[in-house]
Amino acid sequence: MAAEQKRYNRVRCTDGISAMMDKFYKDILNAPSQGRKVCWCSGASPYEMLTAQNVANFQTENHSARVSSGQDHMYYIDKAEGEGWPPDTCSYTRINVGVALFIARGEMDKVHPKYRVAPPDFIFAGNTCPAMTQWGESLRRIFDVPMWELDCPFNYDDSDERYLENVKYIRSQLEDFVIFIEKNTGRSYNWDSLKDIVFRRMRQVQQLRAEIAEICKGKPAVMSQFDAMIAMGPAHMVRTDAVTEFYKKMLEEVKERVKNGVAALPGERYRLMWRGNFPWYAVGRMSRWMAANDICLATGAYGMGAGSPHANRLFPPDGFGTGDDPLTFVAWNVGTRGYTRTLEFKMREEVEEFIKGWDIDGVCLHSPRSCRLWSMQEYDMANLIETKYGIPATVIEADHTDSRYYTPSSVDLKLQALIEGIKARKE
Amino acid sequence: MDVWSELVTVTSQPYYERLKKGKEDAAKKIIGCFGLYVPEEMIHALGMLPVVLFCGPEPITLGDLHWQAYMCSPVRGITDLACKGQLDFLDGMVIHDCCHEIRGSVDVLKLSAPNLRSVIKPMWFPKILKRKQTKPRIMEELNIFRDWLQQVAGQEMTAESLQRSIQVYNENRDLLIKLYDIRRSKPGILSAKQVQHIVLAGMQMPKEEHNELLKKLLAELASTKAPKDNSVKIVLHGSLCNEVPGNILDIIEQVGGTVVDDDLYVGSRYFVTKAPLLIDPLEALADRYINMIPPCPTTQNPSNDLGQYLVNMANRSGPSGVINIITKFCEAHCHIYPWIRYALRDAGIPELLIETEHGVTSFAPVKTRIQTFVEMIRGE
Amino acid sequence: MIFAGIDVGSLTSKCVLLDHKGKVISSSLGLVGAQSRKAAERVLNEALSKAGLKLKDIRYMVSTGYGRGVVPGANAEITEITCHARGAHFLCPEVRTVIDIGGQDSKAISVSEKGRVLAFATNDKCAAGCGRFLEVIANALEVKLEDMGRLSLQSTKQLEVSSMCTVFAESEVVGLVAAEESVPDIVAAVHRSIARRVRNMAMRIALREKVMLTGGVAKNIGVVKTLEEFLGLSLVIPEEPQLVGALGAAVLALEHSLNSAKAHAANQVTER
Repeated sequence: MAAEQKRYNRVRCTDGISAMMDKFYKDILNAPSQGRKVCWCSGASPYEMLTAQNVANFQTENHSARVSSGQDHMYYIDKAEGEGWPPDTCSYTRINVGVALFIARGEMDKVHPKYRVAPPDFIFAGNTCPAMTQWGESLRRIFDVPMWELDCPFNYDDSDERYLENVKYIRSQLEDFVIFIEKNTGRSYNWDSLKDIVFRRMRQVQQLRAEIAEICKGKPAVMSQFDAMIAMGPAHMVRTDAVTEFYKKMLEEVKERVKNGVAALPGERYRLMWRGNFPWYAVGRMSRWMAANDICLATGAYGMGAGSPHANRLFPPDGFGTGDDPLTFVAWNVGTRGYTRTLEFKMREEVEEFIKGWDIDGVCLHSPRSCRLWSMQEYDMANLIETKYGIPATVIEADHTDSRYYTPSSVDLKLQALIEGIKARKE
Repeated sequence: MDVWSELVTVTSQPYYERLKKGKEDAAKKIIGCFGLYVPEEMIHALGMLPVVLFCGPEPITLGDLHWQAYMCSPVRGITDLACKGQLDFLDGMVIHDCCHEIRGSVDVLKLSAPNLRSVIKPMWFPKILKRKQTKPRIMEELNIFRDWLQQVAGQEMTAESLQRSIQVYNENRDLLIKLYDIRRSKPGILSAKQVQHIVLAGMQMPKEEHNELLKKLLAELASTKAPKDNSVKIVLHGSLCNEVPGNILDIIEQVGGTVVDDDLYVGSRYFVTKAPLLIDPLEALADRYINMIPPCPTTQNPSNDLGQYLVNMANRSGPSGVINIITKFCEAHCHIYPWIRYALRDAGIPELLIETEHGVTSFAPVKTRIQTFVEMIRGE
Repeated sequence: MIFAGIDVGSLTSKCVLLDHKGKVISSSLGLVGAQSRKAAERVLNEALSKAGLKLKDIRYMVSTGYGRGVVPGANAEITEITCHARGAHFLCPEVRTVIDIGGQDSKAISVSEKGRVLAFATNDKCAAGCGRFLEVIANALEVKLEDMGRLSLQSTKQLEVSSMCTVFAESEVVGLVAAEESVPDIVAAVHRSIARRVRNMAMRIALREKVMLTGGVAKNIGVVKTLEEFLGLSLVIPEEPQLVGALGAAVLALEHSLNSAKAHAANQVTER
């Protein structure tokens, strides 16, 4: 039937992402042979500080998401659980620990070539999500290497004054981190490189992403949240100029689409927002199902995050901080995402902005079984969304990288009910 | 009234019912403490009663409107109590951010329990313990906390009053440490359930009164002989911010085990670290947190390893087996558990994992596991 | 002199009788239903009557299993984990690991060369990975439980049934049926799901050969073959895989009786 064959119209530039990420991870695998140090990182932490020093680094969550997107996650999950990691532990951790256990024991041949990375010389973890430093601690023990952790205060008080105090606390630690990096790389810190990354590359990418997100607010959507999520990998980790070029291409393409009237989902009827991380193993399945049901997954902080005011706070307002001090900007950035913010903040900056900006009909809140960061408060969020914005919201229980917690019939039913709720409100 | 009768008065009814009734008689303000490491001495110094919050015995119903089934029971249970108005008697509720769920509960409680909204006070302490920034940051938090407490109490906290409270608390800790020393040297002199009752009572009543009870109890125990038996010695660990279900403690003894020591929240983790004697009592409280003796997976201090800590504890009472109790869905515990397991296994100490959940009424599978564990240690 | 082992499980109760030389004289198996005590009595009487014996012939009785607390006349209650280790060792002294897939729980047991438990892991929270799971699926597919093994061997396509939960796995199966996948393929997928869960549980203890599979599910050739593939070894399957627990209990009954006789004799010597 024609409806079953309907697919999202992916932006062509995302075709290059797979190759970009393959190269990215291959560079990490080969880093030692190039005389570069390797750091495994976890948490939404400032990896740019490592990139500046030419340390090969990657976010272990991204690595796990890649494994799960490739449908290869169970092999590594089995390994970790077999060694005592409870199934309630974050599935990003379980996959990564599985990979780490093979590599640390000299069994690289048991890791699929696509997922091979060089073992770390050190670990960097930030506790915007408390589990991240706990996970980093496991990696430290598995590889028996030094670890440096960034302690990230939770911002219960949303005032600028309190935020500033927390920024100072983080910045003070980052000074120590610089010393740690110098000690573990054997050379003095490359401040020029950090400034270039923070003030030029990241700012450029941020501005491009914000511009792209703005264009994507139009109706019909010219690019979906699926494309935006896939494009996140480069945005968060790859700090090279190649990423800037990638986003320039993406911007050109979405502008072209607007000009030519090309939609992400022809015949889009329902515009949905996705809150939280995604069941990475089910991207294909869900995009096909949504397309077949005329659902455009138009936005969400996880992908289109660049379009929200808080993300535009990547760089603090003028007058804040000391001139061109990159550490202040890096420290400022740590708390701009919702991980360490109140429900009120998240509702305002990660939900409302997207509902209004994209004129959303309904919201899916992903409730990942093994991730508390993205699960907590969601029942209340769903209620608040319905009460405040008059649109239906549904909580979908699954998991980000452990497919055993994903029941297709249950997910489909929730989405179907959401659509019916939208239809009923529209009539 | 004898010691046990007094203790039973405290622990035999849900704490919130007892305290609600008690409030009608006494004007003392009550501050609920949720999450680990709340500096109770500061509450005490202002003449208020700090009470550690736990879930009640009733099934969780309203709590599940706010939390998925896979969130831990302390958070679901306390939310449940709050929704049902059972915690409305609190004059303040301090929530110390030691994990995701407790962190998230600040907003959930404000939404779900309107009567508590204005009295909730979140706190955040640094999680990385041994850094130059740690203590100044803790001091900041303690100063903010003191200001808030003073507002609630309607009076100022003096350094002297805080020093006195620290002394009272340290005395309590010393008495409990002594109790544990006696239990270790005379296994079986108290049941595991009795010990949990003793510690739990102290978490929910004025410390001075608890100290008097403990002194009487220690005097009694000094002249009591330990039962002679060949039961298997068990060390308990875990239940990091929760009680251990009484049924499980009973089962251990029913199948031939005797708990000789523990690293439980309602146990030694609560009292084994004393506050040092310093000129600045706030600094003493900061030091108490930084130098906590039982390693905690919610904090990072690579030089204090929980696995090794448990190996040492087991060896001190040895030969014994260690039963690890994880409150189901406790994320921090999940991350550290494999390392506890490796450490105990490498040290040749038998180890068993039990996960506990609120509202479980059938303990047969748990009994089988614990009984097999005891049979295994005995070489059955 | 007879030594009796009674295993009262969640679905079935079993009895094994040994003589004083440790030879199996008789055994029986029955359903438990709603009354564990009656089920234990029934299965004991059946075993006795098959051997032409009476209750008074029993010298020592060990009860095990879920309902071990309600077996009348039991001299000792020992867990099914300890009993399975002993029973497996009795049947095959080279066994060093026992995997038992019961009705509602499964276990992996590391066994010493003397048949003692060295370590164990259980899955007792959830029926996925146990016999009950297979019953539910057999029901959904309208297939006889005893045919599941044979059917799965006819599978030609690898499907996935991955849910952690029996209820959700059942809905996955319903989905596969709706997609007109073949019954053999679906059954094979279900078997893989069980084998994976069991394998993961077994990995928590140090798996050493020889490995014996016990419990009713050991009669399912499909699960056996899949588990062998996942573990990378051949499994030892006893003739009566459901009786291993009761057998172990009977062996322990004999041992306990011998030990207390020795202790009594030693006391007599000392007293003299």
